[in-house]
Amino acid sequence: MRSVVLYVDLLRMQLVARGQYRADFLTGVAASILQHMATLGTLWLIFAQVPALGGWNVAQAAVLYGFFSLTLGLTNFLASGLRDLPNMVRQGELDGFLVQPASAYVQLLPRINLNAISDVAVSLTVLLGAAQSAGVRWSLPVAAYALLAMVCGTAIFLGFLTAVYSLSFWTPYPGLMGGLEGLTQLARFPAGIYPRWLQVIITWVFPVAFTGHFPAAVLTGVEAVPWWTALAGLGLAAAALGAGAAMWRWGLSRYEGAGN
Amino acid sequence: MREFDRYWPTVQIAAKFVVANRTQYALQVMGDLLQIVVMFFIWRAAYAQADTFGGLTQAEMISYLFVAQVFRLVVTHSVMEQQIAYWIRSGDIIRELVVPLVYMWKDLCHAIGWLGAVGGISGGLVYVTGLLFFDVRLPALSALPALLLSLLLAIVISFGISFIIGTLAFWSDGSIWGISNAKQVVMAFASGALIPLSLFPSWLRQVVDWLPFQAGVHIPTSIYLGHLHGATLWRALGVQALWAAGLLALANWFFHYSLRKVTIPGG
Repeated sequence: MRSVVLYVDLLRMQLVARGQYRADFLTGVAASILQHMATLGTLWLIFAQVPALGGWNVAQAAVLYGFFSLTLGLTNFLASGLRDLPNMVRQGELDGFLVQPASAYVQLLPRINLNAISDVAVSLTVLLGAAQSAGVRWSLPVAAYALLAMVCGTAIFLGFLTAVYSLSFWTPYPGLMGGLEGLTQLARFPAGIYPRWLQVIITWVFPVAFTGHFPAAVLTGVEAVPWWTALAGLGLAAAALGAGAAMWRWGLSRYEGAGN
Repeated sequence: MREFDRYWPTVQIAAKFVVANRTQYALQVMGDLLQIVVMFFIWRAAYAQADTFGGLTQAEMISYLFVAQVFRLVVTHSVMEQQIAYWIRSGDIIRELVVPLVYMWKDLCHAIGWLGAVGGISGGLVYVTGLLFFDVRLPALSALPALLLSLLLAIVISFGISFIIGTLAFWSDGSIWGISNAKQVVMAFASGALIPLSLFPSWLRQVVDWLPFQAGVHIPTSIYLGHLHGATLWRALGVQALWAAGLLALANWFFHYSLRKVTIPGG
């Protein structure tokens, strides 16, 4: 509980600091909106040519995209500080966190990522708009499921990014983490476009299908999702968080500081 | 020749800096590659339903996807505008101005060295992956001279855009993070790097045809794929040359106009 309070305080402090550059914030929001427009524009241009991809029509694919970028945006909002880790390890700056009487992880995570804030807002708009045209009927169970799936998806991305950025304790190349982050892109489109083996991987091994594909499939009813698959998302989210935590602990135990 | 001797070291320094960090750039490009692979599967699913899209066969589309990404990596990098914004923010721009070189030309040399090295490493990796695993086709030998000229012009065009955006830092207390991001996005989409312009609806196509971005990726990619010949080829190169000259002139004027506003943190 103390960690949560500390986390929220740190995040608020960051927000105040970033409020200094208001014009930059506004253009950043515009950039984020443009980014989503470009991605959706690409999607729309492809769907102008074909009625369906992997069995999904354009509205259903947009629900998937909205859900995917919402969970990714939430993760980036909660844990942007992870991206500072490579530099902090190299410069030995992590020392400062380790001598504080609170978890270094909790101190590291909160960084205001302006992109992430507008990402969340834009994704939510896309998701709700697309759900409208895909004919999603929001009942209490549906909304509850969507909320649960959102938490699971965010946990999966958080676990993945924590594991990836923990590699900072082993390698001096932040480019590796940036490159590996690209793997999240696999979740952007219906899984049906991939060969069977890749579908199995993104469902059970690197379960990013639970950040967009399955939630959107349940919401739109485009594919029948067995109840146990939907339930497995919970277990996989817990496993992803566990894997991230294990990587972090393992890496931290190797951390030696940078000397002077 | 004396001029060349004065500017060449800047090209070398920029390139050497990148080469020293080559592993970093090579690893980073995995993200771009993954994005192309995802698009590859999207198009594969689409081509199961029709033979051509926007006049391109599946093989041509895959080649387009890879080659356009390679050219995007070779032609543009956000460091181009961030470099000048950094000088302006830190006040070091004053040091650059007392150097007996024209700042814009020096910055262009920096961009050429930087892009040559980053583009060579990142673009090279994407290209080789495409050639080896995705049957990306090679360009016709006869297209090479026009292709090289077109790429050089594309770099100048992209530099002109970046220089103008970097110069905006004079007007925004040195921070151009947001507008730089916006430029990268618009560049990726309107240049045809994400999806061929031939798939754009005609109203959107008309808009992007009047913007400089398509001269950055779409034209060189079309030359590579052999879609431009004779008069259309010369016309495309002419469009690029006009954009290059116009943007450089605008960038030069804007920089000198903005200089009047320069404030250097004293100490």
